[in-house]
Amino acid sequence: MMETSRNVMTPGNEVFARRARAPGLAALVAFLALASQAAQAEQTWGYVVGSFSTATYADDESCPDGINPEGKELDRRNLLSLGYTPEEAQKILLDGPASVGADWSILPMRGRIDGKPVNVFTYPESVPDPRIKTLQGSKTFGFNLDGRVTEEDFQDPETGEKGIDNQLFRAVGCLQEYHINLPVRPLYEAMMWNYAVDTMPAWLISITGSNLPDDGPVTVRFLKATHHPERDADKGILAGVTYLINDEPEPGINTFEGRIENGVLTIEPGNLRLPGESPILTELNLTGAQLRFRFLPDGGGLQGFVGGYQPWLDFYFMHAALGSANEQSGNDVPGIYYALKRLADADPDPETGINRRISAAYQIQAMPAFLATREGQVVAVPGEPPAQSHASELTLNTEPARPDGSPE
Amino acid sequence: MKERAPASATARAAAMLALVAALAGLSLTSCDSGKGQSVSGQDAAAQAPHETAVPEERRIGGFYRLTEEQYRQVIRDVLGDTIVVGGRFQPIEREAGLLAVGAGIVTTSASGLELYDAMARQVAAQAMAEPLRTLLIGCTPADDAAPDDACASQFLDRVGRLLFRRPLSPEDSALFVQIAAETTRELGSFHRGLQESLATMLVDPRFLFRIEMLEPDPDHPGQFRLDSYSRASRLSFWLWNSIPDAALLTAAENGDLHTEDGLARQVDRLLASPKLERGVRAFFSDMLRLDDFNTLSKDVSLFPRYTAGLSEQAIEQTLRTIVHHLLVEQGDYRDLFTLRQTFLTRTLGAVYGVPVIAHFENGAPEPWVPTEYPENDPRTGILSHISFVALHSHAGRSSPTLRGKALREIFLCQTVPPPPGDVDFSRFETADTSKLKTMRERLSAHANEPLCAGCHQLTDPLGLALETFDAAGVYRTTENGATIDTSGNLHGVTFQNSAELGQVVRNDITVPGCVVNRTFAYGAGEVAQRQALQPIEEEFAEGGYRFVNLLRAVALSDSFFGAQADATQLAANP
Repeated sequence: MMETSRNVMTPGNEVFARRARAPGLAALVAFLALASQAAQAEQTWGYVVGSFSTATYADDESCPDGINPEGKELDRRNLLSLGYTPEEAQKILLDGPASVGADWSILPMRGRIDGKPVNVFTYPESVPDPRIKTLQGSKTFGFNLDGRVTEEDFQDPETGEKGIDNQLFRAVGCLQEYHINLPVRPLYEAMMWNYAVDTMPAWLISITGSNLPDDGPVTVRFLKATHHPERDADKGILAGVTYLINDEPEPGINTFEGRIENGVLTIEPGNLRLPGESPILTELNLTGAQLRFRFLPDGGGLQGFVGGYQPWLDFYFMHAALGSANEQSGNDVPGIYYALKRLADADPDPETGINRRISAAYQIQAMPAFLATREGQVVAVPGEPPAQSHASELTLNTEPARPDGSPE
Repeated sequence: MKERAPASATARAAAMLALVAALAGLSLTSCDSGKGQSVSGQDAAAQAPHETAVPEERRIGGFYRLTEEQYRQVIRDVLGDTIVVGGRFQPIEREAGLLAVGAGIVTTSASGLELYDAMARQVAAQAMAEPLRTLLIGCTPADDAAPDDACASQFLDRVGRLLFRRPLSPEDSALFVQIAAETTRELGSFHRGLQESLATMLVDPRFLFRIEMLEPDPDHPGQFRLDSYSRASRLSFWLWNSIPDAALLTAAENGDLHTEDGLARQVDRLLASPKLERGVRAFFSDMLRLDDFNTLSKDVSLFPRYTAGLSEQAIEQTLRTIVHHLLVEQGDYRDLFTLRQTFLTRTLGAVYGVPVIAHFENGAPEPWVPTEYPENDPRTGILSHISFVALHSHAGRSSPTLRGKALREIFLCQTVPPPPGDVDFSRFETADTSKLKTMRERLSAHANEPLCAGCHQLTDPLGLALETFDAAGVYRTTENGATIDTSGNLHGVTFQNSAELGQVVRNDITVPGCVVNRTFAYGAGEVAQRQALQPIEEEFAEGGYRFVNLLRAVALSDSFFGAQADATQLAANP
């Protein structure tokens, strides 16, 4: 039997004490504002993550050697590697593998271990490294995770900051579906997010500070909900829903000190772990996590980036989950594996020395939401749009940076 | 090999033709409905008299097509919850503010009969499939492949009594058994025979229509009265939205419904039943015009919070609130306009802008959470519900005119004339809101047009009080950057916002009379005369405006079953 709670929103309820739109309380709120100008009331705004995907950036410099082959050409290459002649490969691509007496398993089972066919997505090292083309350009979104500025690093096109660590995007940035710019999202990831979001417990964000979203110190928390996000009428994520927080995060993770400056929210680096769900990331696991969010002027949501060092195998598993179907988009799945492994830049395995984590950045868009504890205590109200002076949209800094890395 | 249609299919066709003939006969024979109280409310005795001999035979007093919900409920009550009723139902036009009244003047077209026939065959086939048929039939034929009149009549008499809301006559019983037997012989299956007979019943006008029969009133020679079974049906469809149960039919058979005590006993029993909730829901669905949600749409780009399932939830929110207040709490009907308590889901909470704490399994249906707003919250009362503010809005914008009109027509029983045919609506659809920022400013043009002012003075002041709810029902305080002015007045009593509007409506003297009017008309299928309602209104007030008291007062009033003042010639007993 479903348990329900009784919502009793009395005038003493913190939520309604701040709902200045309730006309009966407007005078009270105004009095409080006058009386406590020196002592700013702390507020907590809540959000539910509505959109999540690899942060992408593409310009003329990104892939000077061209884009990696699209789906059909990828299949052709793989068929040739299996020993089919060009004519047979063409026949298979046009008429299907039955035309040569085979079936569609020839592609996913193209891996070989001791001469026996194995699933290449489960055993990506069962085929040679195809050496996919990787990103060569100088710009992409992300964060300076190691505190250094090296030749390997990128420059962030939004802030102009140099020293950006994002080896994950270097690995995939010249795959067809990643060679795009926001607001377009990688097709495969967008589809997988779309599948997962109707069942996966929602990712929540709370921001606590005084007089939000005015500049000042804040505390940012990432939380997991008990329920999946709710859809709106336009297939997006519905704003204003109440989510129950599944459980409090372990000490030391998911809670960050940060600040809002010129309308942009950033945090001190820390560890972020949120359970996800296949076929997207089974876990959002970032060490040295940083973020950069803007408060959207329309609707009161958040938009921005989060980055850090993540286990590169988690990203690979996301692509391997739909294997052959993913390769139809031109995502060379074993190629991604090898590129991630080669470019991983953190957390070396003590035995093998192989880096287990890779620098990465993701784009996030979040909708305002009520957040409440399982016991029924509302701990965050939906975030509100900023005043005009703080309204900001994502803009790209196309001016060259100064030699020291700071923007013009 | 395709199965031959049984010859008894002609019996079903004959029943359908009888339906058409009955409808045609009813429409041709009389210059009025033959009721003591005409649909227009005029006294039948004041109409031109018809020359006729003193009648002794029975005659039809009313012919009300079952609504879709009633049809489905009857099938559930008679044949069980597992029957799936597919197909479309022809709409009923609203008359005197109610579909229940409109059901009494609507007919069925040829295509409508085809739809009923298709439904009847589907329902009958499901009923006669295992394992349901074993539960329903209640007896076993001697031979599955041969007729068994005894078993067939046992089933058909029992089911027919419920479907037709009165016992089958010996002739009808014999006919339906004959249909079953003939079909059995043709198709070699006893159960196919029953199926055919059951399908025939389901297209019979006595099932599809609530036919109210008049009989000579022994207490008032020369006058007619509704017969017992008609009284039973009128009561059960009104209070339970379905057929009389066995006890009510038995009371009808015993003549109890013609005695004060007997009638009161049955009325009290019906009012005490959990099934009363069905009737109350059906009544308020009709009165509040919630069927209009079937054709409501919202621009998703403007109102993304108006999700696909929101209309259904909005209806349920309002009906739950009403049922809880009127039946569970036995509250004052007028307090519906100021009620702080309601029931919400998380999705509704997202529209209303309030937190809704709900505990349920991820992926399970959203539960309903009892919710109470603070004092003076603008979201108090049913006028702030999505079922009112969103329903009476356009797809892309709010409409004070529609809302004001609905408020007057639904809750005050007032008539607002339609707009002139040549009105230019484009003046209020302008995309340029730089000068006329709020709807109040844009509508002010009406006040300057003599042709418009008269009606808009009736509607707009009330609707503008609800402008803090956009077309989806989302609360707001500004429009295009300008503060929304929600002040106005009703019958000279001023209000400043939607909460105060609710208070003013609650206290308006026309509100109780309107719900009395609607309750009576819904139950009786016709609008009552003013003097008939006066004592009911007084009793309603004396009883603290409790709705159950109103239902009882109406049911036991002298006018509810309507004495027939005129012996008008009507269609013969079918």
